Formats: sequence, structure tokens, C-alpha cells
Amino acid sequence: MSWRLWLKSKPKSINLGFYGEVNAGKTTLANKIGRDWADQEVGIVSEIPHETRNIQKLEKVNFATRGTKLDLTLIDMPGIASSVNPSDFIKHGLSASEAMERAKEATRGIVEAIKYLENVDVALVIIDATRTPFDQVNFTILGNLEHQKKPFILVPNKIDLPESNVRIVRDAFENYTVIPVSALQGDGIEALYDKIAEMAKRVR
Amino acid sequence: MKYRVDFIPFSEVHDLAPDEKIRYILSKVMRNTILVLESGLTHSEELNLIEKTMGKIDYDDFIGVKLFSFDAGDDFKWTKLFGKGSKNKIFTIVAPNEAVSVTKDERGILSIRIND
Repeated sequence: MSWRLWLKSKPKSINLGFYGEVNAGKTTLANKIGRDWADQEVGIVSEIPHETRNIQKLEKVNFATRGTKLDLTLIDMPGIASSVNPSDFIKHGLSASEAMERAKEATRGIVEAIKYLENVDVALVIIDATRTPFDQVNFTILGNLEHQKKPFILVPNKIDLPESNVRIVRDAFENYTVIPVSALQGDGIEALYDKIAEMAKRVR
Repeated sequence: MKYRVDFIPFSEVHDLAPDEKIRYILSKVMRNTILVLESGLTHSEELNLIEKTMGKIDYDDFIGVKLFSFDAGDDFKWTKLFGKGSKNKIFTIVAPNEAVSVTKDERGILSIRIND
């Protein structure tokens, strides 16, 4: 095989970043994709805010859908927030010292996630479809991805819950590509895979 | 806690370098001031503000900010807030995290409660 043919048949390497506010379900979605394509999970899921406080990666995820093959690196980011309050963790049963440690790690994680934005090829911006009004942080992330000309998909998550409302999400973010999912149940995941393949084609 | 609301006209910040603008905002917000900025922040300025805010959090007196950028629409009467010659359609509110909570954000109407 010539090197040209080899290059053409080689799956494109894509850094797929999972961005969004805290507890939107980023890790749950990253784990779902990891299990589907690599039989591995990316991180631990928890009800306590800021469970993901460091960037977590799962490499060599061989993704193939509708004739598109990709070598994905799943990059699960700490949730982005404009404040970090240790008392939020105490409400979830952590001791004062554990809460303070978690708060400090969360603060560092937010900065890390922001700085990593430029290394992402395609971003999934995950929004909790049950939580309105939407935090400005969501608009901030989307605006920055747009500004940096990064392909991205807005993913309202938790659509299996009765209180979710995808129509409100579509109304609030009407100019964006929206693919609703339940990362937990797998609803909408095939449509998301098709869209990831489509977005990856835009990456040089 | 009592909070003050400052309406900051375009002329107050438009000559500041990006980092100076963020420092200006944080210095006021950290002194319990809610800012209404006529010169609304761009999304990259918002991200810069979040990043710089993380560096200022002490988990005691200051745990971060809340921010809202708001598209005023064509019919908004800016002159009532900032006088004649107002230029921007988008303005931004930046507040100490504990100072405000959003009660409603629907159909272009943003309702904020200022906490005691």
C-alpha cells in the first residue's frame, strides 16, 4: 500500500471535548461513548458537584459510523462555573476539610478546562435539560467555541426525566446544532454519533 | 449584607486593556458592588473573567461571581440608563455570587432578586 493510500485509510484523530456546567452529565455521556466504542469508562459519576476536578482522557477509542472511522480521544472536562462554594459540598455530607479541599481542586479544574479549550477538535457542550433558567456559563462556552471556529454540538442531557424540556433548550439556543440525549438510558445516542462523524469532517 | 448597584457607562471602561477591564470589574465586585456594564462583555472576556475569578476566590469572603449578558433588543431605551449616545445593544451584569439569584429568564425577560 502506498503511503497516500495508507494515510487515506487511517482513521482521523479527533480530540473530543466534553464541556458544560457542573452536574450536567458530562462524565455519564463520556462513559457511555467509552463503553460503546472501547469497552472502557472515562471517570466516576457522582451526585456531589465537581466530581470531575481534573481533565480525564480515554485514548484510542475506535469510532465508526456510516462509513466514517475516527480515532477518538475522549476528554472529560471539569464542569465550568463562575463560583465555587465549599458549603455546597457540606450539604452533600462532606466534612468541612473535605469540602475545602474539593473546592480548591474544583477551582483549579475550572482554570484547567478553560485553558484546554484550544486543544479540542470537536466539542460536545452538555446542558442539563431539566435545569432552567440556563446559566450564562453555557452561553459563554458556546460563544467561545464559535469564536475559535471549533465544531461543536449542543447536547441537552437527561431527556429521560419527566421534568426535562427540550423545547426550552431549542428556543434558548436556536442558532446551534442541538442533539438531545439521555446519557444514562442511551436515548438519542445514535443521532449524536452521526453528528459527531459529520462534525469531525470539518476538522482539518 | 448590603449591596450597591453601579451603572458603568461605556466611557468608563472602553480605554482599558482586556486584563485591566477584568481587574476593574473584579475589584468592584469584590467590594460588594453589582455592576451593570453598558459595554457588555464579549464571550472571550466572560471566559477570562471566570478564569481570573478563580484566582481571587478565598472560599470565605469571596466565592465567585454571577454574570448575565443580556441582549437589550432594538426597542430598549438605553438613554434612560446611560444618557444619550449609548452604543451597545448587549450589556452585562456582574455580581458577587451571593448577591443575586435569577427568579425568571423567559422570553427575553430576565428577573433577578437582590439578596439581603
